[in-house]
Amino acid sequence: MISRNLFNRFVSQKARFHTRSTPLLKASVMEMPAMSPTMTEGGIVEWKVKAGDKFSSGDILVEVETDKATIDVEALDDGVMGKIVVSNGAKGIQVGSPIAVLAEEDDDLSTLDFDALTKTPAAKKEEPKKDELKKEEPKKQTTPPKTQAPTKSTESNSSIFKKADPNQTLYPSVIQLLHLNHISTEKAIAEIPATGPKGKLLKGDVLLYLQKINKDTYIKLHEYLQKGTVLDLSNIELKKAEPKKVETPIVLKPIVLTANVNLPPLVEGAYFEDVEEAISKKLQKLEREVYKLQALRSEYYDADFESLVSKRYSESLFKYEWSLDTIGGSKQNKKTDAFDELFSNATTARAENEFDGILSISVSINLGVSPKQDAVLKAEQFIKKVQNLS
Amino acid sequence: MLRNSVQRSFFSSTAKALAQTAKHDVVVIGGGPGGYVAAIKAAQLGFNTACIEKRGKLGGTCLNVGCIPSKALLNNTHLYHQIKHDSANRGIIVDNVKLDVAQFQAAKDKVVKELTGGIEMLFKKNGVTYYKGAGSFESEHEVKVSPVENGIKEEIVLTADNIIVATGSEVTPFPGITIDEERIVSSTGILSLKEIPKKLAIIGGGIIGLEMGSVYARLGSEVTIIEFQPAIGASMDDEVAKATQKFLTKQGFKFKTSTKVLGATREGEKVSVEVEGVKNGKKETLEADVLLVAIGRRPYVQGLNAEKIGLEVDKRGRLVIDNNFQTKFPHIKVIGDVTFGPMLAHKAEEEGVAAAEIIKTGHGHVNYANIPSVMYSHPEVAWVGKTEQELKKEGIKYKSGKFPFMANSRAKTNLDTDGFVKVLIDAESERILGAHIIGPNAGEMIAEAGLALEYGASAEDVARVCHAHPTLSEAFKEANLAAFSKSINF
Repeated sequence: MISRNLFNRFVSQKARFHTRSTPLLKASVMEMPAMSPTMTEGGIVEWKVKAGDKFSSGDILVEVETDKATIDVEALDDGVMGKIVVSNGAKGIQVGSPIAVLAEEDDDLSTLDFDALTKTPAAKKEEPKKDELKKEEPKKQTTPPKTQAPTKSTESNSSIFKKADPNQTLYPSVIQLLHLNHISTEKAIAEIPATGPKGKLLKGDVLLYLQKINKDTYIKLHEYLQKGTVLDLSNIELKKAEPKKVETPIVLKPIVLTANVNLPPLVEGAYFEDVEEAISKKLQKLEREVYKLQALRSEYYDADFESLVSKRYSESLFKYEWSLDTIGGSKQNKKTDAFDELFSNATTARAENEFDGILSISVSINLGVSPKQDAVLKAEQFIKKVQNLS
Repeated sequence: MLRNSVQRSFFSSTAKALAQTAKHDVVVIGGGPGGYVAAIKAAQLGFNTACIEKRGKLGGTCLNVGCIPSKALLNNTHLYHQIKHDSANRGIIVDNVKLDVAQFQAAKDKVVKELTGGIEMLFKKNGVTYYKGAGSFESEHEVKVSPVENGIKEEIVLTADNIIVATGSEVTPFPGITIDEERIVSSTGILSLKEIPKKLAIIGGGIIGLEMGSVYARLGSEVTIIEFQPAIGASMDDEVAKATQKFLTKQGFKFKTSTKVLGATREGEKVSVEVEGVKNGKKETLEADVLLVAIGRRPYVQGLNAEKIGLEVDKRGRLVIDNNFQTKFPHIKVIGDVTFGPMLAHKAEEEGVAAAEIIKTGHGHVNYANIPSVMYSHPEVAWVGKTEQELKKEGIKYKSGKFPFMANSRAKTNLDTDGFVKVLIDAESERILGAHIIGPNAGEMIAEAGLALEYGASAEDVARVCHAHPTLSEAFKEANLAAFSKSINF
């Protein structure tokens, strides 16, 4: 709707315009342009257009005087002169101060709030400039001081201020304040920016408009209150990424349990296969014992629960391999697999020679990567028992 | 062996083919105040909605083992205490007052049963599908519901466009103390003690500790509160916390503030609690019949399988969300105790509604600056907005308006005048910043303060609203009057 640079000057290339638009209001403020980097203030020599005059892009709007030269300022866009704020002959106007209000051709000038507009840019300035502006105000004949006081507070420079909702029911405190200060409801809604929910006017808004309270404090309070309305989700410290921990076990090695037991010297004349058979039986017995073990449970053991979830001991929880070695002698392998049992004759046949040396049994269990907890516990017990054989 | 494995794989593949599935627009995991409200709201907004709850009853901690049963106990013990100690002052002679503990507990259980049943009815009314089972993530869009006792019989996998996680919180255990729910109890066990303990020790001077302490103090227990902090009352305004401590001391509470608990052990029917003074390091052993551990609650995600889809969790176990309750997957939202913010049922409810609205419209809002807290002791304590200590810390210039119930006509006629209303306002704009009430019916009265806060009202706005006479709420009006001007009746 409103172009940011409604006009342009044609002499100095270094001039900067401080034209700003206020989206809520359909007009823009023309500010004293900076004609050179060092220029801080200037004067109005002569306005080339009167209030209400239409102008086209390129038309000269005003002649501005700097400490070095007099420069024509031309319009960048088509428009209408809404109001001249600083009249001919004025000197020492700060760069950036409002000097006129420019409107679009089809804007209804009678509805424009010129006072509010011309104050807008001042509010956008940093503090020092604001102070300078204040000092200057008495010089400006075109703006009556009476209306200036309230309009200063209508600056909509902070996001907390919204246009007042025209359909609102005024709060009791607001009605009272307006009445005491002879402000009509219409005027209040038109002029006082609201900070309440959905454009509601608060007592503080009216007090600020009446310049009875400090604006900075008011804004600070709003910002503080605003902070609390949302969850504070800053500085979230994530728990040490557990998924990574889960990923590493994937490369875990299978659980392997081994036991190496030296048996006491055997009696003279013992046959290897007898020893072998005795050990085989012994190991099977140990396995059965371990399967029957119920004491392996943790302190949370619940018999009923256990009977539901754990395997019967007749089922195989783990398989072990074992071998009988002579110390420094030959090795005999034995498996408990059904397959080996079927063909066990073949292996025993090889071991028919008499034996009287020292024997050692090595038993190993490979439980794979992720066996049941129960199986691991029982396998551990089994290995422990084997180790106690000596 | 071979046949066995063939069989097994045959069965598992069949099971997979026959696994039940269902499709919903919105699936809510958890049927507590956050979850059930979210589910009803989503259904009302036109979504095909399902809610999963594994407890067996809807309503979550709040209805089953929290707010509701505790309030039933608080109300009935207050009545008992009044009849026993106060009725004679009022000219009512009641002889032979006795407590029937079984009936007393049954009355509470009845309330809980009715209220939780009520939610099931609401689900039917609003067309929410209710799965009595345990929900866990299968993938970003799939939630598996596993059977629970008295719940669904077969596993079912739900596919959902949107998932709202509202799994709540659980009691934070005290490191080194084993809760057996008999002699060493949590906030759950304390609700159903079979007898009145002679001595009740409570670790934690927050709302739960003080409320349950009130229940048993009225029934004759000697209550000792052990608090690590120098003051009780958690996030209460300092002045109100001090007043609370004063009133409870009058009711027979013993307070051990700035006291650290080193450990506690059950010895038969007794519990001994080892404590140490934070400042002086003095050690001492307290004997109690029952020890209540009430040091707070922590997020509950057990069985949710959130890690499977990689939902982020912070150091305190909270599921991480943005300001629209969204996890890293925008269609998975988290509300209530299991995520950030105060662990309050009404906060979760607000979030439930907002989350459903965000799914529908992209916009939903909770004003976290306006969440009231209430403690149902006697006198009740309720507050909303900023405390004095918060304003001081922030350097906000404020004015305070106070009005004692001693000067309120209704409180006078009720012979119930303990406490006051305190309103904190901005010194300049006179906007209400916080309200703190300790006194009869404070929990009801705080709603007016919430409304005022929501609309950015000034103290004058409240003071200029006509309040009925004689009511307790006049005290709130008068406190507002006092804040910006002068109260009339004090």
